[in-house]
Amino acid sequence: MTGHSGWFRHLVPLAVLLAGAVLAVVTLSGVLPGHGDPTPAAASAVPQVGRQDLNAVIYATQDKLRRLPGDAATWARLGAAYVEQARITADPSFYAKAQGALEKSLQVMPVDNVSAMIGMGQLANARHDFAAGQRWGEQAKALSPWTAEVYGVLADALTQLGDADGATAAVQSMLDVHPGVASFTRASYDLELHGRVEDARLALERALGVSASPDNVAFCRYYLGELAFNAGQLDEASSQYEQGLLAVPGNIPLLQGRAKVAAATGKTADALAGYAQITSRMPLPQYLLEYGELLESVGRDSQAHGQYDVLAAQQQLYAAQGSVDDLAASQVAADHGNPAEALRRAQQEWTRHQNVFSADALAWALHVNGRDSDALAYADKAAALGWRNATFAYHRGMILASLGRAADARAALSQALVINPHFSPLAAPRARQTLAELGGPR
Amino acid sequence: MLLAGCAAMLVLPVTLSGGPVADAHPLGDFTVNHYDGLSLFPDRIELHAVVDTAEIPTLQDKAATDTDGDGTISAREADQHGRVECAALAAAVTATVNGSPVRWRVTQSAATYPPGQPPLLITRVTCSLVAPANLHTTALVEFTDSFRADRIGWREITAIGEGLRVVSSTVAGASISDELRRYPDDLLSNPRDERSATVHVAPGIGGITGASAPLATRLSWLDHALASATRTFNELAGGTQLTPLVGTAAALLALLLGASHAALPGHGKTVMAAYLAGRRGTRRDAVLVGVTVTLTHTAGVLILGLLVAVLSSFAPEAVLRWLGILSGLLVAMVGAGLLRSALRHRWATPTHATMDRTPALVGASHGHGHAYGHGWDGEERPPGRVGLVGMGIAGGLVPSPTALFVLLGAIGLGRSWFGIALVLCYGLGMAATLTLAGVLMVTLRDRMARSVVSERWRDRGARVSAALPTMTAVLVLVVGLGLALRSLLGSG
Repeated sequence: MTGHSGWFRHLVPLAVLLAGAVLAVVTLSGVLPGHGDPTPAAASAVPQVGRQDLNAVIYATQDKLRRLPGDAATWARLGAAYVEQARITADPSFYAKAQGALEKSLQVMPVDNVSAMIGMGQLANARHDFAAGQRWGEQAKALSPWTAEVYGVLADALTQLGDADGATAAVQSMLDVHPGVASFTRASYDLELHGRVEDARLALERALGVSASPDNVAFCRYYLGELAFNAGQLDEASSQYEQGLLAVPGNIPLLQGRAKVAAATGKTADALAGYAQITSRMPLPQYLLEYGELLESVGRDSQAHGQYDVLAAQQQLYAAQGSVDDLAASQVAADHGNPAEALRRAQQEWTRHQNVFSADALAWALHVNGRDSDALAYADKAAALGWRNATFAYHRGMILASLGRAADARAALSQALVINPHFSPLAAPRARQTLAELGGPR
Repeated sequence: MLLAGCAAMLVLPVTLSGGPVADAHPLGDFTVNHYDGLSLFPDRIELHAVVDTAEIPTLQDKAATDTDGDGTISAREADQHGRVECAALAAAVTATVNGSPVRWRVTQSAATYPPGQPPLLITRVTCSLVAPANLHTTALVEFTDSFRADRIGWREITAIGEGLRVVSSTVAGASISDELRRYPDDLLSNPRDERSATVHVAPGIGGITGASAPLATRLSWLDHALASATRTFNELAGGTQLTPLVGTAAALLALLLGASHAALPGHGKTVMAAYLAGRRGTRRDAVLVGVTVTLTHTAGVLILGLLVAVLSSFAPEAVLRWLGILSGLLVAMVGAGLLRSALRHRWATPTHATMDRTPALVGASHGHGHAYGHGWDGEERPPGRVGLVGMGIAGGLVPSPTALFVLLGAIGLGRSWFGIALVLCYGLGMAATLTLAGVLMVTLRDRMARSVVSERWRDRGARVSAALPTMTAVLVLVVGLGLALRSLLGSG
C-alpha cells in the first residue's frame, strides 16, 4: 500500500504540470487566431444554392489534377462538374472553364475518350448548341453504349431538335442502363411533353425515391411543384416547393416556386419581395421576365421596364459568350413591344431547332406581326405532342380569335384556363377578357 | 479504464461546430466582388475596401443611381452612389479589438464606371474607412464583412501591420487579385471566399507584415515523418464535420498511432521501459511507466503546442532537438545509476539472489535514494521508482510530431478541447504499448523463474541473471548517450 503513496509523490508534480498546461492551452487558445466558430456569421446568413456535393467533386478533382495533370478521365470529370456548376449558379463563365477542362482531357487522350465526349455533349446542350450535343452523344454512344450519361446527352439534344421519338427512345435506353435520378427526371419531362401528366408525376416520385442528396431532393421537389403548378394545383405545388426548401433552404428555383404561388394566390407583396430577392441573387432571364411581368400586372410599369432592360443586356452578354437563346429573346420581344425582332429571332430558332417550343414561339411571333393564318400552322405543330401547356393553348386561342374562329378560340382559351388559371399574371387576365368578349367559356 | 475514459471523453466535444463551408463562385456577369485591405496601426485600424460590381448588378442598380433618370450616370450621381455604397459598407463591416467593436468613419468614397462587356459598364466603388483602436499592446482583431453578402462573387481580405507586429493572421498580407483588378484564372483555381479575418497583433516591428505562414507549413518537416494513417487522422480531426462517429474514430486512431509510435524502433523507449519493468519490477511498475509516459507526453505536447501557437518566432524543431538530447541524457543518467548500484552489489550479493522476489539486484533508487529518504528495508520491494519515473519521463519527453500537429490543427479550428483529448489519447496509446511490453516481460520472467528446469540450467540462468544488471545498465547508458548524440546531430 505504501507503494501507492510513493506513486502519488512522483505523479503529483506531473499531474499539476499537465493540468497547468491544459488550462493554459484552453485559456490562451481563446485569443488565438482561428478560435471559435470558423464559419463567419455572414456566410451562414446566406443560404447555399445547394451545391456542396458538386463543390466536393470540384475540389477533389482539382486537387487530383494538381498532382496528376495527365489524367484525362479526371479532366473530363472536372469539365462535367463545371458544366453542372454553370447550370446551378447560372453563371456562364463556367462554360469557358468547362470547355478548357474538357479540351485538356481530349488533348491528353484524343481517341476513345468517352467521358470527355459526354462532357462536351453536356456543354453543347447547355449552350443550346443541340446539333453539336447530338453529335457528341452519337460518338460517345458508338464507343460506350452502356453508359447512362450518353443517353442523357442524346435525350436532351433530341428533345430540343424536335426528334420526339428519338428523345423518347434515348430516355428509355437511359432508364434501361441506369434507373436513377437523372433518367427518371428525364423520363418525367418526356412524359409531360406528351401530355401524360400523371405518369410524369409518378416518374418524379420514383426519382425522389432514389434521391440521396439534399440537392437531388430539392431538384425533384421543384419539378414536382412545377408539374402541380402548371396544372393549376396551387396547394400541391406549394407543398412540394416548401418540402424542397426544407431539404435545401435558399434554393433559388424553389424560392421562385414559392413566389409564383404567392402571386397566384393574391399575395402580391410577398411575391414581389420574393422576386426582388431572387433576381438580386441570380438575375436569370426567366426570373427577370417573370418579375417584370408581375410588376407590370400591378401597374408598376417603370420598374417592370427596368427588369426588361436588364434582360436585354443579359441576352447581349449571353450572345457575346457564345451561348444563343433566340427562343427566350423572341418571347420577350413579342410580349414587350418589338414584333419584328420577335419574328426574326423565332425564325432563327425554328431554322435551328424544329421543336414544340420554337413552333409555339414562331406562332406567337407571327401573331403579333398580324400573320395569323401562318401562325395557326405553327400553333398546330406546337400542339402535336399533346403537351398540356396553358401558354401554348392561350397563344393558339388568341390566334384563332384573330382569325375570327370564335368557337375554336373559346375552346382553346377555356382549355388554357382549365389547365392552369394562374399561368401568367399578364396573359391569364387577357385570356379571361378575350373569352368574355367571345361569349364566355365553352 | 483509462482507455474507456478516453473514449467517453470524446463523446463530449463532438457537438463543436464544423469548419468553414467551402462556398466558391467564380467571376461572372452576376457577381459583386469584395476586397477589404486592413492596415493595423498602434492607434487605429484603416480599411481600404473595393467593391467591383459586374455588368448585370450594375444595370440593376442603375435605377437607384441614375437619380435624374437621363439614362447616364453623371459625375455627381457617381459621387452620390459612392457615398451611399460606402455608408452601407461601413454599416456592414465590423471589427472588434479584444471583443469590443470599433466605430468606423468613412474618410473617402468614390465610384467609377469602367467599361465592361460592350456596351455595358461595371462599377468600381472604393471606400476608405478608419476606426480608432488601441493596438499598443497585444490584441486580437476580428473582422467580418457582410456587405451584399447574398450576391455571388469573389471575397478577399488582407491584413498588414504598420508600426506593430502581426503575430498571426488568418488572411494574406497582399492581394492576389491586385485589389480586384486581375483575377487569377486557371482551370484548377477556385475564387476566394473570405468573409472574415482574425489577426493577432503585438507591439514591435519587423514581425510578419504579410500573412504568417499557417501552422501546418511551419511544421513541414513533419511531412517526411508521417505516414498515410496520420494523414487520415488529421483529416478526421480537422474535417469540416465533427460528428460523434468521426470524433470516436479520431480518438481510436489517436490511440492506435500512439501505440505504434511507442513501438517504433529507434526510440529506445520500449526496450528501456520493458527492461526496467521486466527485470526487477512488478506489473504495477509497468503501469507506472505507462502513466508517467502519458502524463509527460501530454504535458509536453500541450506546452510545446501552446508555445508554437502563441509565439510566431518559436521554432519547434530546435526545442524538439533539445528535448531529444535531454531525454537521451536522462536515459543515460538512469543507466549510470543502474550501473553504479549493480557494480556495488555484484560484489556484495550471492548469485541465488535472483530467485528471490526481493532480489539483491538493487534498483536505481539505491543510488538516488537520498532524494526520497526511504531506502531498501528488506520487506519492501526495492524501490526502483525514481528510475522508472525517469524512464517514463524520458520516454514521453519528446513530443510526437503527429500529436503536436493534431493539437495545433485543432486549436486552429477552434477545437482546443478536442485536440487536448486527442493528445491525451495519443499518450495513452503510447503508454498502452509500453505497459503491455512491461507486463509481458514481467510475466515471462515469472514463468521462467517458476518453471522446473534442471539444476544446471537454473544455475547458469542465475549466473546470467547476476550479470544482467551490469549488462543492461551499460546498455541503458550507451543507448541513452546514443539518443542524446543523435538528437545533437539533428538526425532524430
